[in-house]
Amino acid sequence: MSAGPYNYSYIFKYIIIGDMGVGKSCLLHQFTEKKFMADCPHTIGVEFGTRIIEVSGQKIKLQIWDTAGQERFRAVTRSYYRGAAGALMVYDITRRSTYNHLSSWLTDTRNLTNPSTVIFLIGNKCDLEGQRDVTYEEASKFAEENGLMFVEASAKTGDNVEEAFLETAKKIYQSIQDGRLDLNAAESGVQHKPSQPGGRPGTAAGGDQPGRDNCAC
Amino acid sequence: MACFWLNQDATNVEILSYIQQKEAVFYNIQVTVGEIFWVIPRRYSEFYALHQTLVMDHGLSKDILPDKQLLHIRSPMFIETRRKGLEKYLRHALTFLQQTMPKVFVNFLGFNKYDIFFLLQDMAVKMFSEADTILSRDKGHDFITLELFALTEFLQKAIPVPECSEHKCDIGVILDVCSQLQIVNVKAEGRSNTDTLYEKSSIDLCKLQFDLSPFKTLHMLNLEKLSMQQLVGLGNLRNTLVTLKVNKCRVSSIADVLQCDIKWKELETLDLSSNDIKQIDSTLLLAPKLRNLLLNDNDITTIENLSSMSNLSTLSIANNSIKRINELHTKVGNILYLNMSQNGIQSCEGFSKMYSLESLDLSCNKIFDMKEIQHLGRLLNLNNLALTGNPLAGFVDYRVKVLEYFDEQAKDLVLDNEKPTQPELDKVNVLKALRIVREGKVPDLKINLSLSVLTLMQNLVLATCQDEVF
Ligand SMILES: Nc1nc2c(ncn2[C@@H]2O[C@H](COP(=O)(O)OP(=O)(O)O)[C@@H](O)[C@H]2O)c(=O)[nH]1
Ligand SMILES: [Mg+2]
Repeated sequence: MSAGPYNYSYIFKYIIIGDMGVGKSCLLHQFTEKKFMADCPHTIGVEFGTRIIEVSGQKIKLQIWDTAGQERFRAVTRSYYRGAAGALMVYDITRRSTYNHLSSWLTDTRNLTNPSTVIFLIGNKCDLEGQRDVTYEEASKFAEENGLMFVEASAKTGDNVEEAFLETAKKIYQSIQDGRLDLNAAESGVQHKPSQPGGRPGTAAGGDQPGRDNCAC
Repeated sequence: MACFWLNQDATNVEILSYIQQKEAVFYNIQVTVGEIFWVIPRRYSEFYALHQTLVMDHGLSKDILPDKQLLHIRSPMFIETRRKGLEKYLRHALTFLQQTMPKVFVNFLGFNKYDIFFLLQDMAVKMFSEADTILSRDKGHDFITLELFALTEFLQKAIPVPECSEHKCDIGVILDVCSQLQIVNVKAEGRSNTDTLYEKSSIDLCKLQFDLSPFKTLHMLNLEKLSMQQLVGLGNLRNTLVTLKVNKCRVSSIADVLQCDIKWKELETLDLSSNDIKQIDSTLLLAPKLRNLLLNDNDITTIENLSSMSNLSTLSIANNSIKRINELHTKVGNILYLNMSQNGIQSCEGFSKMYSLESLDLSCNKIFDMKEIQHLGRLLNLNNLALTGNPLAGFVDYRVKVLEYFDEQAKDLVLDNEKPTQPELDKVNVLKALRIVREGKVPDLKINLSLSVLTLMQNLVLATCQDEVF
């Protein structure tokens, strides 16, 4: 037991969406565990992961909802858009159909989140260059037209995975600084954690520092 | 309800009986108007006071009231004679006053309570003088079914009210207040649960239909002890209603309340507790903004048809008949508060992926096996858990054992309405260290414990080792 898990000043909620099999769960796993999980079980409904990151010296806990891409869970997963500060929209660069479905995912996102939600487009499996079915330029243009941030990434090699999650957080943090995102608004997807015993939020004490005020006494 | 102006010829007053209470004798006046009757007890002194006013202000002849008497006033013979005399007096007065119906007379006979016109007349006066207070009250305005029925009837029937200064009834005032009310409570309080007659009358509260259309800007409607058949125009509230509570109304399906086809645009809270609902049906989809759904005290056995309710955040299904929960996270989405207390749940496995939950009430179920709690240990947002009233809550060290499953989260978890105490948290750490020792690993020295706990732990570890030696 260490001070780590309580030592952060914000919680940002993310949602990962996209067709089944594009690598959403692998991206989450790569980000939270820094490992590629080749035989990832199918997501039933929804999964969940967390990791603490740092943006401009602030510790931020990311709460990430990994949703099932299957149509039959679409109804349930829609509820998780509510209160998402960031949405990672994923397609598979080796399967054109997953790219073609992006507009429908985007419509859902726009309808069900709030205007300040940051949407980040990820073209996954960029390690499979030989099987590429969607060019970088095409997707990049789509992103630009729709005002999305965009990278190609690989959950397998870890390329650009950190970047996608972190850039999203930076953008959200910026919105808070600019006052564009209202923390008090219900469903803003961001929670400010007031300081509490067990570790002062915002201080640089890392999670792996042994024996620092970790009991509530 | 009665309607005197439509039934002047069918109106009668009788005194059928009397009751003696200590010094006083109450004469039970029965007023019959058409098919409706009610009983109102009055003492002689009240007759006397009425008579003075009627003589003075309304020209009733002076000598028709039975005399005041000082002697023998409690003898049955005397009372019987007086009963007859008073009855005759009332009949005389009614015939004489039936066009003017002065207020004192109306109130004396209880018309203002049981008659459509006279009740509305009082209501209009009250609403005129108190409109501001009525409209500003946080709890909203309480109506009895009779009032709403009277209003509905008055608007639908042409009631021939004779021209007379006493008969002003400004319905406009009532309608104006109704159209501005934001919170309305309607409660039918019959004589008992089985007897739905209104007070001392033959008016059956269950049979009074009323129209809710006058409430043009209603945000919250609380209905209690009514039946859905009584409501007309509930659908007209679809565009404004944010909160709808229908309690103790014997509703047998959600569809009976939300009806069909048209959306409840603003509805956020629906409370259908204490009814006879057996199923969560798909009419809920008509309320796309629904955040809070309360279905306590019903007869629901499964959770279904909620997967599309993407705004739902509170779900309360306490005291129903749910025995098993399977993969709840595929049936409801992003909800924060779940109350499933007082059901027959034995296993917690179905909750294991309800990661969005912040509060879970499973008190008074049938959870027996402590291992079931491990399914809740990964609910990282959980900060409030209730398990009292389950068999496992009787175990030694129950709280510590439950908290152990929550690891780091334990110190922030309110269990059964209490935060863990420091000794409890210390114990959790000891148990954890012991477990690690048993698994043949070295306990994490980063674990930060007070010194006393460390010694306690050492002793325990030693004890376990000795156990294994012998
Ligand atoms: N080569 C390669 N395979 C990947 C990558 N990401 C995921 N996969 C594979 O794609 C399949 C589907 O991944 P999964 O994360 O379950 O997809 P999800 O349905 O979107 O959650 C699995 O067999 C993964 O091993 C990647 O970046 N590169
Ligand atoms: Mg998945």
